[in-house]
Amino acid sequence: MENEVPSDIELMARLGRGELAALGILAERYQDRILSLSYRLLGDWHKAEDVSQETFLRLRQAAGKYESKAKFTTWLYRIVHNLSLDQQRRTASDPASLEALQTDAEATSQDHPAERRELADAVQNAVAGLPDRQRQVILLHRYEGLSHEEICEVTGWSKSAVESLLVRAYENLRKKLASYQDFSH
Amino acid sequence: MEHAKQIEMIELAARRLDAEREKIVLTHLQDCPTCRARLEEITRTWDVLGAWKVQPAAHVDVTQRASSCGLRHEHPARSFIRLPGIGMAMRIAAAIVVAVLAGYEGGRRTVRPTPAGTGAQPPQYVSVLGLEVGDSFSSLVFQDEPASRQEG
Repeated sequence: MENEVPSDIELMARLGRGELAALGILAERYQDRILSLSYRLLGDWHKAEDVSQETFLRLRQAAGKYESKAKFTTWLYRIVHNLSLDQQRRTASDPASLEALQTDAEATSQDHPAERRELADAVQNAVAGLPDRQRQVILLHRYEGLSHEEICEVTGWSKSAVESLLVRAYENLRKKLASYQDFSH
Repeated sequence: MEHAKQIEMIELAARRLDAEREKIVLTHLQDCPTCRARLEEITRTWDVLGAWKVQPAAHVDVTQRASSCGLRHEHPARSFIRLPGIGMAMRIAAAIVVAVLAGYEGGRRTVRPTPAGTGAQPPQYVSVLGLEVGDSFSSLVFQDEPASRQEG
């Protein structure tokens, strides 16, 4: 069928043969997810955009050698995750980072009523305040919908470590957000 | 049955627990108010976390990005990549080129060749050594060699 939606693997193969149009389709398909994960990890849209660009550059470079050993999205998330952490390390000492995070938090929720905005800010701050590894697994599990096994592949951590981090992270968030529990209803 | 594992409660709240385990845990919950209360807490936390929504499209226009990066489908030959650092490399290269050209031009204006037949006198040590002034340093050396051999 001519109108059949090409699979990710097929698009990677086409990209490997030099068809840049395939990269365009992959970008439209995954750009939002890449940006969301990167933004949640970094708290800055500009840095998230840089990570997004770099991710597509990596896709293009790897296309010729790409083998579908793992699920494409898991492989993609691993690239985004690693690039975001690299970016985070580079800017770890940048005092403007927190400021940018707070500014973006306002921008993110400006369309919502005040209560929803307050809740969104509280959640963002609670997640940002988690220990680093707990924060990473929460973002991948709660917001990206990855399974435990996929989180293992993305982070390189063992399944028991991932599950332990998830339990502690949700418990910490439950305590931090206890005063907001009624908002969910 | 023991209390349900916390990680299974999380998966249940996320509606991602596999069917077999879900059946077992739900059966246990019917008889265990402690686990029911825990599940309720986890579910509320899960729901509250959903309040943090991000809107990538509001920050980045995919079409515009595609256009600016050459990702448009109808222009596959254009490179879409915005290479980080390429601007800096171009600026450094341009600065080097400008510096070299400025140095060349400055040197050309400062050091002028001595016009032939202007009567410029050679330094005294040249005649003391029995040398003649040629057009260049290399000619001085060549003129000096026969004299040395004759002395030997």
